[in-house]
Amino acid sequence: MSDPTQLIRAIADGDRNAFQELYTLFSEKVYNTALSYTQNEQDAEEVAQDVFTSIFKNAKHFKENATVSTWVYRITVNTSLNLLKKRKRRFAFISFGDSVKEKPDFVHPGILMEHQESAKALFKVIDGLALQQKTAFILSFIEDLPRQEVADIMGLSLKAVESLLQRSKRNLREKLEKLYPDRRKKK
Amino acid sequence: MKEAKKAWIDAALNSTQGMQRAKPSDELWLKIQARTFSAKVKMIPVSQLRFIAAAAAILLVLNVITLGTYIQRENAVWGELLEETEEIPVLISDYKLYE
Repeated sequence: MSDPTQLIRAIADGDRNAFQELYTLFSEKVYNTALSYTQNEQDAEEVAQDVFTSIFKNAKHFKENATVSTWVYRITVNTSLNLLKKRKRRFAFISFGDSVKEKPDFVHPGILMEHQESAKALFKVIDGLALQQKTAFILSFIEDLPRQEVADIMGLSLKAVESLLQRSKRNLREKLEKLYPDRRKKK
Repeated sequence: MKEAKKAWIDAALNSTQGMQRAKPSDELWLKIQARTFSAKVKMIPVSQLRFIAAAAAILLVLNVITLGTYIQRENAVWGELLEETEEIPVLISDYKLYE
């Protein structure tokens, strides 16, 4: 059995083997999406744990008018965004009393060796994007999903996603421009 | 200079091309299994226990204060009654009226 919809039906009946099969199908997608948001391997694993626990609990509520992939991605995006909000609140609380440490540069483990320096800058500026722009960019350009699936995951029209992508690219360009002299000074 | 900057920005924007998927650690599935299938024991957090203990202590103190006030008031009422009783003339008890 490897049809995701059938797997979800079996999970809803408590089938553990189906759950493991679904994990095999989606674990990398979930983990990588979470990694792009959290930019931290431990946090990404925490998100993945929450996502799969949520899938097991809510399999019976899965509506078959959406694809399993869309549903899993939606849970992953929401869980990642919740973790970012929680981290922001915790960070605000800590920084109120203590000196703020600068976040270390994130190197995605899947980036090709020759692109790693450029990717560090890219992930740094992605972190500063507004949440919807960040989601549209991560799903389209890092997860490489078709625009229509991105629109379904975000619950937006195709046009709205295109507009978010344009704005995200423009903002990333502006932020990278500001980062450029900084990079030259460090060299 | 301007062209170098533009090239650097373009390189950054295109740096995810050819990217491989990262693999989660082998323990992730074990952790998920442990969280999903382990028997659920309802744990009461220590902070909640402290709150319950504080509430119980407040209730106890309030009860002691109320009981103390009640006993004091009762004693005062009985004291007044006894004083009033002492002022009442003693009743004739031998009934020998015409001696």
